[in-house]
This record gives sequence, structure tokens and C-alpha cells, in this order.
Amino acid sequence: MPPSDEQLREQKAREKYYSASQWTLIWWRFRRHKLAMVGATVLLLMAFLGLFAEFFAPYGPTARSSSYLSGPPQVPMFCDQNGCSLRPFVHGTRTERDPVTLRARSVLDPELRRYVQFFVPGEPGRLLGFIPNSTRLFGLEDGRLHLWGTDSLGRDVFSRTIYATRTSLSIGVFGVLISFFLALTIGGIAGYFSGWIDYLIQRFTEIIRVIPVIPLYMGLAAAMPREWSTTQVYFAMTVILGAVGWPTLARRIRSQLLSIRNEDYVVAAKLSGARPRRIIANHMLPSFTSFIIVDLVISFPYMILSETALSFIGLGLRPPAVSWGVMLQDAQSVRAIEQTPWLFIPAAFVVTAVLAFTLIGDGLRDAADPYSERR
Amino acid sequence: MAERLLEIENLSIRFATDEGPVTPVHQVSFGLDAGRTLGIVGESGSGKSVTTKAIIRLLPGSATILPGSRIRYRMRGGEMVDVQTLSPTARALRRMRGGEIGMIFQEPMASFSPVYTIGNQMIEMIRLHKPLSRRQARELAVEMLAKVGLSNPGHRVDQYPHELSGGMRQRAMIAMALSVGPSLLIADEPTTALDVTIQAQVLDLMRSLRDELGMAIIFISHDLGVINQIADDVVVMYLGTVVETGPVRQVIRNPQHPYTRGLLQSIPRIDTLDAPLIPVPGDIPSPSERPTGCPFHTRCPIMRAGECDRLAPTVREVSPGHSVSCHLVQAARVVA
Amino acid sequence: MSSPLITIRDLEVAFPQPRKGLFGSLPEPVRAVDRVSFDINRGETVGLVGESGSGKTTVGRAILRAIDPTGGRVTYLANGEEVDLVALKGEKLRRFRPRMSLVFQDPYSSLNPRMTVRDIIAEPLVAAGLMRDRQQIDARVREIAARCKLNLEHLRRFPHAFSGGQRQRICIARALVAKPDFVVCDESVSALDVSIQAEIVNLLRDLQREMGVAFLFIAHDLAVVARISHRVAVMYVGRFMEYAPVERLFFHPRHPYTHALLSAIPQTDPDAEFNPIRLEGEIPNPLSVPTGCRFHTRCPFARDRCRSEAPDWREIEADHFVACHFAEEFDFTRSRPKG
Repeated sequence: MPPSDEQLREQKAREKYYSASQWTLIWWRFRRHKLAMVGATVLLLMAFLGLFAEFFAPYGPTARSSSYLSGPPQVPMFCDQNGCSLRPFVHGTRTERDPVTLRARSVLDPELRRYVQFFVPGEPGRLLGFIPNSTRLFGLEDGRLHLWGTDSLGRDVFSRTIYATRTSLSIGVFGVLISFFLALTIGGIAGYFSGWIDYLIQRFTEIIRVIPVIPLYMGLAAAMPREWSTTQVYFAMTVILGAVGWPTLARRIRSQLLSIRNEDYVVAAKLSGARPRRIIANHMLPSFTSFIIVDLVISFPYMILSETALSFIGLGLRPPAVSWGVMLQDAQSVRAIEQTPWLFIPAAFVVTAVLAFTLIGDGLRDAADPYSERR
Repeated sequence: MAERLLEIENLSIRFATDEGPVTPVHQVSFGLDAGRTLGIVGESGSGKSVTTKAIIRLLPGSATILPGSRIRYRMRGGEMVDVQTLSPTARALRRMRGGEIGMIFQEPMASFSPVYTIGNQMIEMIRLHKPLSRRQARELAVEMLAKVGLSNPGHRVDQYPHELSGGMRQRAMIAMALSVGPSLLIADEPTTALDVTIQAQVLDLMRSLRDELGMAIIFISHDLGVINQIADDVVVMYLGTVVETGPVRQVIRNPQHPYTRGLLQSIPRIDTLDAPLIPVPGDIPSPSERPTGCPFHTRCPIMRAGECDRLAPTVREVSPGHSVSCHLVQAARVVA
Repeated sequence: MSSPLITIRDLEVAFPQPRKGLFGSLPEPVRAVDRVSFDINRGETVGLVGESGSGKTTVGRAILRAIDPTGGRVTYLANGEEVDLVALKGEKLRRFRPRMSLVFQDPYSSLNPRMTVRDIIAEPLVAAGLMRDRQQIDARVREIAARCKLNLEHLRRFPHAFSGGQRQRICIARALVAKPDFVVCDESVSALDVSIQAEIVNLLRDLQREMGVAFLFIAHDLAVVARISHRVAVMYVGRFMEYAPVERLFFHPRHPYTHALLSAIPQTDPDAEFNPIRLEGEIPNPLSVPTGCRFHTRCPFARDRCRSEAPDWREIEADHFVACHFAEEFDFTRSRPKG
């Protein structure tokens, strides 16, 4: 009896599963985790926005609209009292003097229609730092569009949020990478050599861990010279974040190594005459990279939150650099909450990013050991 | 003839898994009389543990007992309850678990909490099912520990589970399960983790306690040798179905099902070193890939194509009490 | 009689105990294996039986130098030269390793789940640098896989595709791929289902006949050991109790412990009598080994001398060793079934 199509298909699917490598299995299992997939999508979107900020943000992070200070968000609309239009538009502004305080203020002029346009020319910039580009995704032909309003200096909150996304995410990435490097070295040495080296490193790690974080941050941040440039401060921040973040990770790496060292298949490799380097590279590292990746993803939010918190209290990045924390610094006062609530929009980004990372971490943790349930 | 204590009819259990539904127990029927010992023997994936967990409704949340299944248990008062219809919080179920039906497992550490002393856990258990004061319950606990052969029970009662060795822990678990005088004891591979000399002690103990207390036992094991030593009747399971059942002696002396025969031939004996060891060919299929027809046909040496791989065999009785589920067995009469 | 391959003399493995408290005195190390001596011949299977805590696994690992022995000599006779395994170190030890190998108990944890079956089996060849040519390696892997009755189509698969029995065959293929003279099987069939167990036992026997490899077959199940071994050693709390050809050990044991072990195996024959010798109490903890003969606390025949004086390891008959003061007095001959 020749096998039917369906049997052949099933056979094929099975063979695919049987010869699937670790990463394929992890990906299959991760894909089943719906929330984690949502998190991953959101995060990819954010990273994409930040990476191509020079295209998505209509204006530069420091460009000011002097005529629209602390202006509320302009929501594109299709209809106003003068009728409807198929193209979205916003109202233009005109300057008016407050009859009581006599201060100049800009008010919306319902008579002025400014149509939103896509792929408009803007200030020249460089995508990814090297592709010259002067086209922006959207904007107005005449005047400026402030989707999420402006701050007290007239800077576009939408554009700044996008630039801030880039800064904050990248600080997270570098911070995590630095702490990962430290953790891998220190935890790796402790886990591989064990014995008294391990003992010393463990005690040292504990000492680092018991130092309260906020005063440490404050001390380190205060030690940064005031005259440092934005770039220097940026790198100093990543180093600080990395230097404080490693102990937890180092412990995990150490304990992973210690448990893997006694796995039967590692013993088997040793007994077959493999050199230590081969044992580490071929047997030990591959089996714990997935766990390390989970740890890295989970430690991301802490990095981002730390940066935000530090910048918020004025110890981290300083203007003119923009990060979520720097932006939220402007929203510190009660007045801001009352009169310019749109300055809080970056906070939503912080929450979303942290949530997304946590969801991904959750999904990865479940997927990272694809062999756990087949015992 | 003693009265029926437990009657399982047509029991099927389905688990929802990531890869779709799996049926680890498929139309299982057997019965147990009061005071008798029933051995259930089977390899991994045979569904022997799942079946017995269903008796006390200890299945995980992903499991459902399929309609048509019936588990009838005679309570001490004499009424038969349909266990599969009981609500999970029913009083009858609470009375059964631990009270009328005691349980012991392969890994005693799993049934003792590590943070309470043996005595504390036994006293709690006793008082849950018996109207005794703490003092009386403690006396009973010490008495039971002495009965299972623990030396210095007055001292042991205040020890924590980790302070006992494996064999002593298993004894303590037996003492706990028997302290409320159950009418049925379910023992799930209770000696598998023990060394042979300790296993012999525990088997010995279980036999003498059974004779003394007159309870029925369901003894689950993968080892036919152990079943042979303790059970009156045996149920041989393969991939969630009962392939053969009958008095132990008869099933071992005169096995009818090719699986039972294969199993017996693959067990190394120590009374002769010359008999060849004949393995059952092939691998046990995973429960998610249950073969059609007779579940054993993929490994059966006498498989008849077109019949065994298509049709599920019916249960035939070869002699009183000894029935087998195989197309190729000439039966005295067909049951069900 | 074939020639000895490995001679083990007074093998001792002691594990240091952790200090009690930060400044407490260092306790006596635990002797998991205490002065054990026996020989393994070329192409023969030596069974090693014992209950938990007997140190049987440690013996196997110490010979393979997975654990470093703390005393004694393990001499390996290869190509007419004698190699002292205990003294081997560093690069020399690494180069010697492919001559011996280990089959583990758990067929799940002993295969690296991230490597294909082909790479797993090839690992000993590649790791020790025995072969470099890819095609040569492939040919060797296919040859041994076929001998271990593995489907050659499945070599590209990962271990998660296989059942316990198949995995154990992969483990055996890996252990034999470098053509070692000596393989330790540490409870290698204990984790398998009964119907699969027999197949692996038969496979090991066939492979031995074809390849002439010697096995040290460690197990707690005497019945399985009887099926595969030429000679069997019985171990109890770090010491050998008895060592004899399998026929002698199973039907004419001289040591009360061997006798008790044999009597405790539940048999499937409903007519076989089952009167296990009642051994009182529990297996002693290696941390507090009894004085004199280690078995005296549970021995039904123990006398005063057993409590004070440790018995010598002596050859009571040709090739039959026993550690019991009164071995000559005991005749535990078991009756064989008719036919």
C-alpha cells in the first residue's frame, strides 16, 4: 500500500522536527507565545523608529518653534466648522496678546487650514549616520506640525520622543553589553575554575551587590566633569550602568557553568579526550547561551529604567542630549501636569518598552530550554 | 466470594497537550474485590499510574475522563459511588482520599513535606479522618511506626523526613497511609527506588500488614517479579489498554497475549543463566502516536495484517477470570 | 584464559569532607572505595553489583580517571607495555583517554541535545584528534552506527527525536567509535523499560563478540548482570565482598551478603520459592563505616570476630575471591530448576 499524500506530509513534518536544531526549536516555541510576539513586534517597531529617526521625526531634536511655545498637540482632522476635506489638516496659529497679562501667546486660528503632507522636504540629515536624507515622512508645507505639542522652548515633543527612543534604547543595549562582558568574564572565571578563585570572586560580587545603588549612581554621576560633551557623558553613562549591573548576571553565569560542568555529556566529552577549550566551546557555551540571552533581555528594562531615573533626577544625560529621562525632567513640576500634560508622552514609551522587554523575556524563558519537556 | 470494592468500566482519559489531545488510558476495565491484591504491570506510557490516579480523582487539570467511563467504588457504609461524577469538592471524595483509600508512591520525599516532622504530618492525617485527640493520634502514629518496623519509633516520630534513609522513609509513608485503616491501598511503584534487600523487607512488610489489616491493594509496578510476589491478580497494560488480566499464577504460567509472553521472555531470570533473553522487537510508541487497531501490532511477532492493524481486539475470556485482548487467541467465550 | 587487560590493586578513592563551621577541624575523608583489587581480562565482561552507597560507580569512574583515585594502582596492559593509570597526568592522560570509555545510566542527559547524532558519535574521534578527514570520520560513524542497529538515515537528527532505547544505542555507538579496549557501562540499562533492556543487553554481548572489547558492567540488578558478565564482583559499602565467575557466584556463593542479595530478587516464576534472607536494618552510611567486617551489622551469621577484625580478601578457590572469615563454613549452593 503506497503511503498517501497526507502520510507523506506528516512524515516530512516529523522529519523536520527531528532534525531541528536548538535555535529552531526555541523559535518554534517562542512563536507560540502570543504576548511575547506582541512584545517583540512593539520593540522592533520602536527600534526601527529610533534607528531612522531622521526620517520619521519631522524636525530635529533641538529645533524650536518660537511661535508655538508649550503648544498643545495638533490632531489632524478632516472636518471643522468650515466643512470637510478628504485630506487631513490642522489649524494654523496666529500670535495674540493676552488681554489680561499682555503676554504674547499663540492661539489656533480655525480659519487657517494647513494640510498634512507625506514625504515632505525637511532639514538635511543623515540616516544611520551616513545616508544623506532630507525627506521626512510627514509634515506641513507651510508652518510646523506638532502632533504631540511642544515643550516650553517650542521643541516638537513627537520628534524629540523619537530621538529619545534611540538614545534610551541604545544606552540600554550598550549598558547590557558592558555588564554582560564583565559578567561573562568574572562569572566564567569563577564557574570554570571554582575553588578559592570562585570563593574570592563570590565575596567580591557580594560586596558590589550590597552597595546601595542610588547613592552609588549619584557618586559616579557627580564625578563626571561638567565640561564633558554630550557624547562623553553618554558613554560614561553606559559604563556606569554596565558596571553596576553585572553582579546578578555573573552569579547566574557561574551557577549555570557549575551545573553544566557536571552534566553527563560534558563528562563524556572530557573522557573522550577533548581539550578544555573544546569542552567549553562545543559543549558548555552552546547549552547556556539561550539562558544568558534570557537574562540579558530581562536585565534590559533595569538599564532603561536606571537611565531614565538618573536623567530624571538630573544626574544622567544632560540637555541638549535627549532621552526619555531628559524629556521627563521637563515634566517634573505640578504646573507641567496641569498645563502641559503632553510632556508625559515619553513616560508611555518607557512603560511600553519595559513591558515589551518583560513579555519577551517571559516568552524566551519558556522557550529557552526546548528539551525540558521531552523527558 | 468477597464483595466488589472497585469496578472500573471502559475508563478512557484524555490529556490536552501542546501537540493536541493524547489518550493515555483507553477503555480500561477491571475490578477488585475487598481484601484482594491486584497488580498492575506495564512499561512507560502504559497508563498504569494515570488509571489509578483517576480512582481518587487526582488527575491534573489538563485531563478529562471521557464520557462512557465508569469508576464505581464501595464506600465503607456499603453504598457504591460513581467516582467520575463526583464534584471535585464532594465530601465523599474527601473521605475516600487518604481515609478509605491510602496512597504510597515511589518517591516518599514527594509525599512528605520537608518542613514538618513525620509525626506532625501523621497526626494531622489521622485527625482529619478519625475523631482522636492530638495525644491519641500521636500514640497511634508511634504505634504505626513501630508496626512498620522502624526502630525507636518514639524518637522517629519527631524526626524530619530528610533525617531518615530511603527505606525508612518508605516505611514511614506506609505507616502514614495505613494509620487511618484504609480499605484500599494504592501503591504506585513503592519499591522501585529501593535496593533489593530493602525491597524485600518492604514487600514482606506490606504482605504481613495486608494479612493483618485485611485491606485491598492495587500494586503498580513495571517488575513482574515483584507483582508475582505480592499480587493475587494481575492486569497487564500496554499503551493505555489492558491486554491481559487474570490470576497472577495463571497469567505467568500460561500467558496468552503476545505482549505478556514477550515481557516474560525479556525478563532475565536468575535460576538459570542459559535461557536466551528474547527482547520484544521495536520501540514503545509514544502516547501521541497510538497505533490504530491493536496497540501492540507494531511490535507483535504474530501480527496479522489487515486485522490487527485495523480493528481493536475484543476482550475474550480464556478461562474463568483470565481474559485477554487479542485477535489471535482462541477464546472460550467473548466477553463484552 | 585470556590475558589481563587491567589490573586493579588496592584502589582507594576518598572524598574530603567539608569543614564543620569556618574554623572547625577537617573531618576524616570518606572512603567511597576502600582497597579494592581485581583484574579485568581482554574481551571479558566483569559485572559489578552493589546497592546504593556501595561505591560501585566510583570504582568505574576512578578506573576511567573521571575521578582521581587517592591510592592504589591501576595498571593497563596495552601492546605489551604497562601503563599506570593512576599516575597519568595532563596531556598524557588526555591522549590515553580514547582507549577507554563510559556508557552512562541516563540516556537523556548523556547526549548533548544541541548536536546531531552524527556529531555526537563522531565526537570522540574528533575531540581526541584521532581522525581529521571528514569522509573517513563519516565512514567510521556509519559503520559503528550500523553495528549498533541505528538507522543510518537518522544520523542527521538531533537526540530529541529518539526514545530511551535508541538513545542508549547512540551512547553505545559513541563509546565504541574510537575502538576502545575497555568500556565501563554504569547502570546503562537500568533506566530502560524491561522489553527494551533485553535488547541492549543482547546488543552489548554481540558487540563484545565482534569487537573484543572488555566491559565493566555496573548495575544494581543482579539478574541483568548475570546475563552479560563472565565474572561478577559484589560490593558493599566501599569494599568487595566476593568476586567469582558468574556460575560460581550465582549458584555457589560463599559470602552471606551475596547469598542474601540473590535471595532477595523477586522472581517471575510462581513456583520458585521466595524466602529472602532477612537482613536487619539499613545499609550503613559510608560516613560511619562499621568496625571489623562491614557487613556484620546486618549479617545473620555474624560472630564476635566479625565485629572486631576486618576479613582479608582471599582466593578461596581458583578464581573465587571472598572477604569473609567463615567463607569455608558456608555453602549457599542454590538448586537449579530441572530441565
